[in-house]
Amino acid sequence: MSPRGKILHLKLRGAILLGALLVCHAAAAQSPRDSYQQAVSHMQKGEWEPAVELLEKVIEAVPGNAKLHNTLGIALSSAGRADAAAEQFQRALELEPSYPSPLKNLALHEMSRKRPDEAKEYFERLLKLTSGDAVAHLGLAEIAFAKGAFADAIPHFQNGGDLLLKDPRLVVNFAKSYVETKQPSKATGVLDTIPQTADPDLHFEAGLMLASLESYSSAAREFERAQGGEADLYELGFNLTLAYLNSGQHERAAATGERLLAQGHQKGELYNLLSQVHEQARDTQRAYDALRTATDIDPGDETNYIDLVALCLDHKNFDLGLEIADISVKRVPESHRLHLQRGVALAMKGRFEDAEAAFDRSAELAPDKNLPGVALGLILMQQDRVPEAIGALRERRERGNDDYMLHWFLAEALNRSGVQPGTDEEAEAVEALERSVELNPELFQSRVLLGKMLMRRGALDRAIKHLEKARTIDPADVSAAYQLAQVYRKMGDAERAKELFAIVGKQKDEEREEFTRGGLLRIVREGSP
Amino acid sequence: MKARPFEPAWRVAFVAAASWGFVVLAGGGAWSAESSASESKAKSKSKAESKAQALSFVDVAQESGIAFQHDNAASPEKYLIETMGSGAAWLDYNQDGLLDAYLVNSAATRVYTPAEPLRNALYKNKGDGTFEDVTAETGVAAEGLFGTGAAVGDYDNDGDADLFVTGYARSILYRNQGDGTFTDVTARAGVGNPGKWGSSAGWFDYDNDGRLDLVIANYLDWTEDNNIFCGEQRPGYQAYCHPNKYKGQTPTLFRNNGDGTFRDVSKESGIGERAGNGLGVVCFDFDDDGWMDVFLANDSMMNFLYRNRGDGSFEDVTLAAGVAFGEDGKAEAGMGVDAADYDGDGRLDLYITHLDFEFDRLYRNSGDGSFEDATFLSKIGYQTFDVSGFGTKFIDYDNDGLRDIFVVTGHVLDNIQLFHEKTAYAEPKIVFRNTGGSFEDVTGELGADLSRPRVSRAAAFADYDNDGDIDVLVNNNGQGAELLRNDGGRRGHWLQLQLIGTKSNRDGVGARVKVTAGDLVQFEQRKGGMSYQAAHDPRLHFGLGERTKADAIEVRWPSGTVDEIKGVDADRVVVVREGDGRVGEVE
Repeated sequence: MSPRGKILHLKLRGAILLGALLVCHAAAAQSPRDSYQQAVSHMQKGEWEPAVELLEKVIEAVPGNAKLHNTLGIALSSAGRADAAAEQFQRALELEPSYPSPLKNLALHEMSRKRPDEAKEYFERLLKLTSGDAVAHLGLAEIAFAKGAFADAIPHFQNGGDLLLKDPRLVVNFAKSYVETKQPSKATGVLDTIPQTADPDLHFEAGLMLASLESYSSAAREFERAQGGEADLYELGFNLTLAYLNSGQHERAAATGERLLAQGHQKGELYNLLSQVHEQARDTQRAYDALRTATDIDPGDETNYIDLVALCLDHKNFDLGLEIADISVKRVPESHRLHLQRGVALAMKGRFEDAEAAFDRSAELAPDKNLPGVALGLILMQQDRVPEAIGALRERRERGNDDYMLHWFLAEALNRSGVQPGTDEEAEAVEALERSVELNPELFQSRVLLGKMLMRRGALDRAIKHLEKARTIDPADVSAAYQLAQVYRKMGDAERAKELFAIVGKQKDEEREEFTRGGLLRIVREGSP
Repeated sequence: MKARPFEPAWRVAFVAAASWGFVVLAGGGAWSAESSASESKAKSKSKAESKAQALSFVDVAQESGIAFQHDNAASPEKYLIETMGSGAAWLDYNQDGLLDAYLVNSAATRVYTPAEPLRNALYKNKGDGTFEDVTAETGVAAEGLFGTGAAVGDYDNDGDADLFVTGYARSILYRNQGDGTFTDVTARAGVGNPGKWGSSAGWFDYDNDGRLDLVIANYLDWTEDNNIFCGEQRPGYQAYCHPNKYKGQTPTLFRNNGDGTFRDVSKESGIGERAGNGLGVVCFDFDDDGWMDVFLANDSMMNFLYRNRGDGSFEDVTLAAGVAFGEDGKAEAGMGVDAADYDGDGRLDLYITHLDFEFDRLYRNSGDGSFEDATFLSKIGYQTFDVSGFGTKFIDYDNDGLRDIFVVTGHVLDNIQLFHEKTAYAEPKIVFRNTGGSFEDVTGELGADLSRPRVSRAAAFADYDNDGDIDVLVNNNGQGAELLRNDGGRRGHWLQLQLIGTKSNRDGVGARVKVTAGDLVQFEQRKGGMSYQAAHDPRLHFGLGERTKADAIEVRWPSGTVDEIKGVDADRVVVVREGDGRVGEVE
């Protein structure tokens, strides 16, 4: 090749190379920006891999850009390449440590990998940058909830904003946190926000929680919305009936319960529940019949006998109550509760020796239970054997039985034996009552008796404290108001005393009116007109 | 998913039942056939040491000639009037110094026709332990009246005892003519109490004008037309209805005009403002302000205590005084009532009888316008729990200087044993001996006649044989009357005061008496009403124990006059005339 040919070759080669380069450049002439836009477009269409490919190229062209790494991480994560995604998020953070998005994404990544501690760290870092980030709050709420740190979870749930409502499961957990931290009314408020369109199973769960919080009307609503879910139809129906019953919707309760029966659920517990419905609707005959059926269906279930006897005693049909009690102990001879109740029925009929024997039997069957001893004390008192009652109840106490009812009845027995203020026995009674109140602060009777005894010994301020509390526990029972009025009178607060006496007087008049209107209910025996 | 929001808490149910049991224990009453156990009452429950000398109450009705048989007009319809009894009264109708006995009977009803017409009976005390039926000649038979109670008072201040008989739908006032006969002056006097079921009544001077006025506890608006079925729909299980099945009636207060007539001031005085189920009444000055107040025992609802304002009107202070209910705030079936100073503090306390499954209540007067429920503090407590109390009075039966309590009992349901086999219709009496502020049941020590079960209602107390101790006349529902003569009570020394008012009403009702005998100081007041449907010895009785004289007797009359008498030997009746002091004695 002549030198002139060599130069031409070289020139040609250069031209070709240049041309090639020019062609290549023309092909890569889509700017990084355009490539990025295209990648985003792919992502919006859910086309993750093409998006990944483009973003990788963009990053190659424009290295050191945290946003690009974060976006790539998102695409990788969506494409199911979680670890690779995490690497990109990490890289983004390395480039820009205060970049919220990769923090959030890493946190969510860790959550998905079930690494809550790691996720927590990221969420917390994120909140330092953006304190109101709902995702971070909800993430932290869930982490705390899962650990049982309900008090910690609550503030995060509270900051979940609208995002919280989008996930009914979170709403339920939020409510549970309130329940666990003994804030039932707040729990109820939260559960009331579950949208109607939430999953039926969540409605069922919410219903259970609301019912346990005694918000029965709301519980009924949730159970109604739980239809069509996974919940067992019988369980759902039973709970719905229960919720209707306790929210005073007797007709609906009856209809729901009867429907269950018609569907073939001939269960003792259902008849028991229906008996409560009928009793509340003042149809005592049907209540009685339902319970009798329950006892026939489940002859070994003591609950139905207990309720049936209680129904009889409530309506002062002691003969029938005893008849049922006798049957019950034959069918379930080892039930200490049934023997105890039989004793009560016998006592109501005046058969005190037999009642004592029944209570003794109950105590034998359940020596760790205090109620038989308490019942025995009651019976002894009724027979004017108060010193024996005191002895029996003291003995139970000395055995280490720290039972609120035991303390209360011992105090009653001492009071009824005529203990005078300033004596050891009176001090014993007061101490027993204070212990009873400590163990069960919501027991009305202990507080009223304690108030009375404190008043008698001149401790008027303390008397007031207990009597006022008793009034809040059971506003319908005016015995606390009556005692309280007398205390205020002694203190010279005539105005307050007069107010309270007026309340007592009014209530008593109303009770009397009610009695005259209502009359005595009797369970009519079969065959009677 | 099997889940329950809650399980029926049987224990909670038992707490409710137990609480209810206590409620029943404290205030259930016998009307709805609650259970009780009375068979043990036949045995002695006395915890007292036996006394050196025996003391007993002996029923001498038959041997004394009081052959009265009460007919309660019992019928299958169970009219409520059939079970509420039957009054008894002591009065010296012929001013011979001997108290005569008056017993009230029922009458025919729409559903009951007795074999012979029923009538009340007046028995003249012959002074030798026997009595003679003088009903016909005295004109107090009250035939046709379904009688309930009786109240005795000299309303016209002419020196003899007049007789007011309460009844169902009407009452009768018999004016003592002074010649051994009575005249029915009801219409003229205007005290027929028409349409009211009068139970107990009391004579007292509420406006201190020197004339006896009349208060009547009225019961229910039951009529033969509105009688309803109560009990169970089984043969024999129909029962007398609970009083709250009917509306109550307002009490009646008649003001004595001084001319033989009365004016109904029930409403304007305030006493007739509220309806109650009134059965027992006692008129006494509970706040010692010189004006007689009125306590009405109501059945199964709150009682009424009306404080006399001194201006012709009364104020209902029941709740504020703490006597509306028992200490547990429950209404009880108030039957009989009495007021006296049982603890020697100079203030009149209250005792009210109730039905079984309730406690008789002892209310101690605190002196500040209120009473304290001392039922348990006094140890009476459960001792009345299994009986239904009616007539009652504070009496010093053994003359030891302390006022004891005498109670007559009897259930209201004649078929109670169908509901509660251990509960009896007929029940024994109870006597509580005062041991110094506490009481113990000494019934079993006082003779078999007290323990004999009866369906007792009215109990009228008097020293009919003038031997210095208090005897008891009992009218039993549908049964023979009893005259329980106190044998042995006079072992302790005693004093009785017969009061004669001059400016005050002649009977001296309202007079406050203080007797001081050495270390013993006693207070008493001449009261109206007392017990259940009964009238009593007008003399005030004081036991002195071993003290042989009273150092001082002070009588504060309603007029304001005060008579003081010094150095009176025991064991006599001292006649005290207002302004003159002691004017006579009877040993």
